[in-house]
This record gives sequence, C-alpha cells and structure tokens, in this order.
Amino acid sequence: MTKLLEVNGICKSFAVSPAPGQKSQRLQAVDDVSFSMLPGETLGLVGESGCGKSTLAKLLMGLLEPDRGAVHFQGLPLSGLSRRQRRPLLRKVQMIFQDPYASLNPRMNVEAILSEPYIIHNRPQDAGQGVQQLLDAVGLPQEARFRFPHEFSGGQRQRIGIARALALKPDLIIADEPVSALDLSIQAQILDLLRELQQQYQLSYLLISHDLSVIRELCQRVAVMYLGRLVEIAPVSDFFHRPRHPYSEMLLKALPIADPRHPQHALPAGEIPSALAPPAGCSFHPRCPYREQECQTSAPALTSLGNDHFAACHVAEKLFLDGLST
Amino acid sequence: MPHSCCLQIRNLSTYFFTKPLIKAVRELDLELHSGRTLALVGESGCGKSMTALSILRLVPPPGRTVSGQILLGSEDLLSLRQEEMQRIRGNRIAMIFQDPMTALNPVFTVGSQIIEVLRLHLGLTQLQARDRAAELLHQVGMAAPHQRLSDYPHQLSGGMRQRAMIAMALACDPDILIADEPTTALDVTIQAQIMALLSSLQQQRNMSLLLISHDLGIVAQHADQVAMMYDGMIVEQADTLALFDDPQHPYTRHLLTCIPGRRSANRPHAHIHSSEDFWQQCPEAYRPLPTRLPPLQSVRTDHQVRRWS
Repeated sequence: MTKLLEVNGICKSFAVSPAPGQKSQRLQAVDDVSFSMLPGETLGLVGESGCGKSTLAKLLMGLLEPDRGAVHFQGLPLSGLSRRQRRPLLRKVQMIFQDPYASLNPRMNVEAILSEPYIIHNRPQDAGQGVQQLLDAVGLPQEARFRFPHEFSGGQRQRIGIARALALKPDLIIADEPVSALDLSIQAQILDLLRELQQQYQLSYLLISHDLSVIRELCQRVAVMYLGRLVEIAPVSDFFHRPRHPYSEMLLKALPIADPRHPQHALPAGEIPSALAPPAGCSFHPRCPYREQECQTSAPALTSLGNDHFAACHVAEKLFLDGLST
Repeated sequence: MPHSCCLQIRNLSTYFFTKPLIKAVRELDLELHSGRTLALVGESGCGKSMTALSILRLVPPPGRTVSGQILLGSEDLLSLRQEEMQRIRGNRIAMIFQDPMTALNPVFTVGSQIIEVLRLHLGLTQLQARDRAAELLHQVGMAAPHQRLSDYPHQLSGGMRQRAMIAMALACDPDILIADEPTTALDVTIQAQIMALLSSLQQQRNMSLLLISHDLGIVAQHADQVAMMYDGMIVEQADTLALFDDPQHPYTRHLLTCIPGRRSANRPHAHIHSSEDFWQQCPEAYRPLPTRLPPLQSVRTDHQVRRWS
C-alpha cells in the first residue's frame, strides 16, 4: 500500500531574540522527525506545550518550509514546488483548529465560510450543493447558512470548522487540539462526529492533542514529541499498556484518571527545559529517573523495538515501564 | 476524625439583571470543612465561578446576590460592609485563578506583589515581609526563592507562575482556599505537580479547599466530596467515591459517560444544546418548575440529589 504521508528527517528552526537588544538565538522547533502514515489511519501526536507539535503540523500543511528533510504526500514531494504546483496537493490536506472562536471570520456567514474553499480552488459552481451536503454531514440545520459565527455555541462553531475542512474532500485532516476548548459533553459529541466522518469519507487524521485520553479513544497509533524530537511511536494499546520511553511513562502517570479508586502515582520531576538551551545528549535526561552515563552525552535515535513500536532511548531494551492498568 | 465546618452557605442565589434575567446561582447550599476538599464541578456557564465570586462578594454588575447567607464562623459575609469584606478576602479566604499570567500584575515583580499582601494584611515591615515572601516561595517548591522575588511574572514558566500565585494566596494563612480551575492552563506533568502541592499544603495547614474544576480526572483524584452543578443549581452532592460509583442525577450520569475512554462503547448519542433541551429530555421527577426547584433529597448519608420526592 502506498503511504499516505511520509516524513523524512525534517528539521525546522527559528531565530528568536530572548529579550530586546540581546543577540538572536536559533530555536530548534522540530529536530529530525521521521514517520509515515497509511491511508485511513489515525495517528495521535502528543507532547507538552512548546514541544513542536504545531510547528510540525504547519510543516505538513506546507505552511512552513523545512530547513532540511522532506515531506511526501501520496508519493509526491511537498517542498520545492511553486505555490501553483502545490495547490492541488494541498487540497488533500486540511486542518481543524483548536479555537473555534478564533478560526472563523466573524464577518462572514456560514455560507460564505463554507463556499470559500470551492472558490479558492476554482470550483465556485460546486459551492451551492457542497454547502448543503456539508451542513448535513456535520449535523447543522440548513438554516445555519445565513447565520454568523457569533450566533453559534462553541460546539456548533467547531462543526462549522470541520465542515470547512471537509469541503474539498481531503484525504488527510490535521486536527490541532480540536476538542480542548470544548466542554466535556460537547467534546464527546465532536469526537463521535470525527469518528463518523472518518468512516463516511475514508479520512485519515493526524490528531494533535495534549490529552492522552482523547488520543486513546480516537487513534490507532500514537507519537510522542519532546523538545522537537519524536521520542516514541507505537500502536495505541501497546503504548498505554507498556510504554517504552521514560517520558511516555511520565505522561501516562500524570494523566488524571476519572476513577477515585485509581492509585495516585509518583510525581513527575522537573519541568520541560527551554527549547533555546536543550540539554546535551538525550534531551530528557535531566528529568529521567532511569538515566545512565551515556544519556548525558549522546542523543539516542528512534529505533525499532519490534511490533511497530519505536522509541528513542538508550536504555529502552532494559526497562520495563508502567502503563495504565485500566 | 470529625471535620469542623468552617464555611456554611445557605440558600445562596445570585442573579444577573440582564434581559432575560439570568439565574447564575440558584438556592445553593454548601458546607466547607477544614482539612477537606470539596469540588464544584460542571461545564461552562453552570455557575461554579459565580458561586466562588459570590462567596468573596466580587460578583460583577449587573450581577447581584439576591438572597442567602454565607456564614464564616458566626459572621454572615453577605451582611458585612465592603471595608470589612477586605479584611476577609486574601486573609481568611484566598483565591487562585486559572490563568496566573492575567492574575499577576505584569509590571511588578513577584516579590513586590507578595510583599504587598503581607504588609497590608499582617502589618509586617518591608524586611520582615521580604523574608516571609522568600519562605513562602520556598514552601511552594521554588528553587532559589530570594532570586525569584525580583523576577517579573513573564520571566517565570506557567507552572512557576501558578506556584507564585499559590504562595501569594497562602501568605496570610487562610482558612479557606478557593481554587478556580487552578491547572487548566498547564501541561499534564505540571498539573500533577501543582495539584500535589495544593494537597500537601492543605494537609499541613488544615485548610479547606474549594476546588472548582471541569476535569473529572482531577476531581476523582483530589476531592473528598463533589458538588455537581448544572444550570445554576447543585443537582447532586456526594462523597467522591459514591458519586463516581453510583451517580443518581441524569446530568451526572450523562457527564460521566462523556469522559473520553470511560464506557465509550455504549455511549448514547447525547445531544444537549441548551438547558431547556436537557430538562425536556430529563425524567419529570428531576425537572425544575418555573418558580420552584426540586429539593435536595438524601439518598444515603452524605449523598443528596435534587428531585421531587
């Protein structure tokens, strides 16, 4: 089967100045990330704020040009194309954003918002029927057409955002924290909707979330990022039962489980270091309870541990880490 | 060990005099006990933050507390004058907020903000207050506290800012700490650290913690008791175990099935768009009348649900 998405060693850094007047430094937002996705698959991407999740999403959308490495979508390279050449390819990758309040133009009504993708991609004649179908698909009434974003609740606005992403019949949807701004009961409805749409339209999702329980519910595989690098990638059930990277174990233990009988775990140590001055060697070593001499000097590469399970850890083979029992 | 009651709220109602009238808090009864954590749980707009602001008498206009009693010891907070209330706020009842960046003043150092609280409420001298502030920062787990005093809020990470907020809230050794979504803006590993810090400080000081949260995971792990709010009222109140094991109210049951990963296989397609919708779908025994709410009925000791007989 041809890969839907193939990411090979992409890197992206930004120049930032820590304070006015100080010399600018390079911030390595995404560092040598490689992974691939199959058609129809849902991959979860998890990590703490500042780990490079959103930069990675922008690289995959073609909104940023990688410094090094390449992104192939359905076998075709994303980089090195002109905007015009790239456009038909980008039609197939769409995005859903975190904040349904900020990602819709308040001065456009729903019809205008949902017609815009057709107009941009030179198919204005499809807009009329398209909007009708999209509203049905995301469970909004037809009357919604002539209303403006502020007239909708958060959950309904997220439905508008999802409809817009579906307009051009994409193959891959990148959803950046699609439910984290929503209330619990609305979250459940949107997750149900995403699952239904996936079956109906044979979609693939790259679901970016800091919430592991959302990832567990929707994804087949999960990838963990730490300070710009991928530290683990594995099938969801393996990951939750037996993570292979100490950082993943830390994340799982920090997850508040909605069961008062669930034991409380030991506390995670330290905070995520500044991406401007990442630690030498394995960037997780200052917080890692299992660190050894080697970890302080050389950065581990993502290596296979069998069963489609990869981790970037020098001692992964020796460790037996705790997952979630439930 | 029996826990003494340190704050008792009776029949509290706070309305917003807009058109239409919004009943943000309706006939609310709550008791806070020293050394215990009560979680006030619900989704946005259910009235949990307004309950907290009502306790501190900080409800913004056009909102107004229209009835009730808030007894701190034998004093009714609702009958105090504003100047008398200032003596209570920050001193006997302190509050920490969701977003430490907006709750701290960006143009003053962390130290000067804590020192201000100490001098105002405890009448310490500048030097005494400075030492006390450093000690507080040390207690909330900040390394090199004397240096941190001269940092501005933007120089701290999100977790460190929340620690500074907690230090400020604890400055006067309050009896009651109200924490409004204290970890919502933080990453999971930092969230775990902050919640553990709050629990341990609470134990040490035998403080009463009113934890306002929408995160049932946090609540399950940290609360002794849970009050579930919906549409301005407490619909169910119980010990944490009882609430999760044997939820009574349709809303509580509904919310528990929405937790990602929990009983997701047999989740019904719940589509609640508004509270009117919800009450329509809800069995009649639980439905409020236009003028009267169902009373809180005891199911067992320490477990009440709002329904008609």
